Amino acid sequence: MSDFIIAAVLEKADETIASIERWELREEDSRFVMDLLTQRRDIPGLRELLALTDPESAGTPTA
Amino acid sequence: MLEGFELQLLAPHHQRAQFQSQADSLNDFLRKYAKNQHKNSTTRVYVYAHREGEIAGFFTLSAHLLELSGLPDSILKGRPRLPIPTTLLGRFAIDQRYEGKGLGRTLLSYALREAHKAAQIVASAFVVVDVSEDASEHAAEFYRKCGFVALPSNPQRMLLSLNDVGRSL
Repeated sequence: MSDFIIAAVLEKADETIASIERWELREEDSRFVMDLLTQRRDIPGLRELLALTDPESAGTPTA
Repeated sequence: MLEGFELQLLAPHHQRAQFQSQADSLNDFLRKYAKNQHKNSTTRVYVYAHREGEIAGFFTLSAHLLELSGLPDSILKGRPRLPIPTTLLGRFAIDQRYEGKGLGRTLLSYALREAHKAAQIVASAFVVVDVSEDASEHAAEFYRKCGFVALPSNPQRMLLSLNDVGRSL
């Protein structure tokens, strides 16, 4: 594949990314999200929730 | 869990027209738009369905971006100024005949597992949901108990780290 084609494909990818739904966050929310990115939280409720569909006992999606 | 039901990707044999949740907009989505959006890969539609096609509930997952603003370099710490890739849990509904059986929790559990699995292949930092005003505080509390947190300026928009999901599996 030529460099031109590769560049064109990447340009198209940019268009695709731009078309994906997005939330534009205010500064306050942006700071909050950046904090969440680096936090490690232990969430008992989440653990219990995920246990409901433990693959040992649940099916996996089929087409 | 319901006897004979399992999580499946939307397929032609699923009985979309019979699905009846309390939200007309979600019923319409499943009947009119879900098939094409799933086929075109703009949204992935999962149904919790009987092997013969009856749908007890469904949810959708799709790519989504969080675009940050106003952050100083000291917070960005060398990170590129690009939107953060996330996974949108866009639609989520239970058929009225199956309400009160804990299916909401089961479907959310499946949704988080699927989102986490996908994020191991194509990066995604969070699962995000936009709790509708109609769904009220009850729905927000449901997501909060499962670990979602709301954006400070917009409590309807909630997110959960997929790294936290991974650590909880």
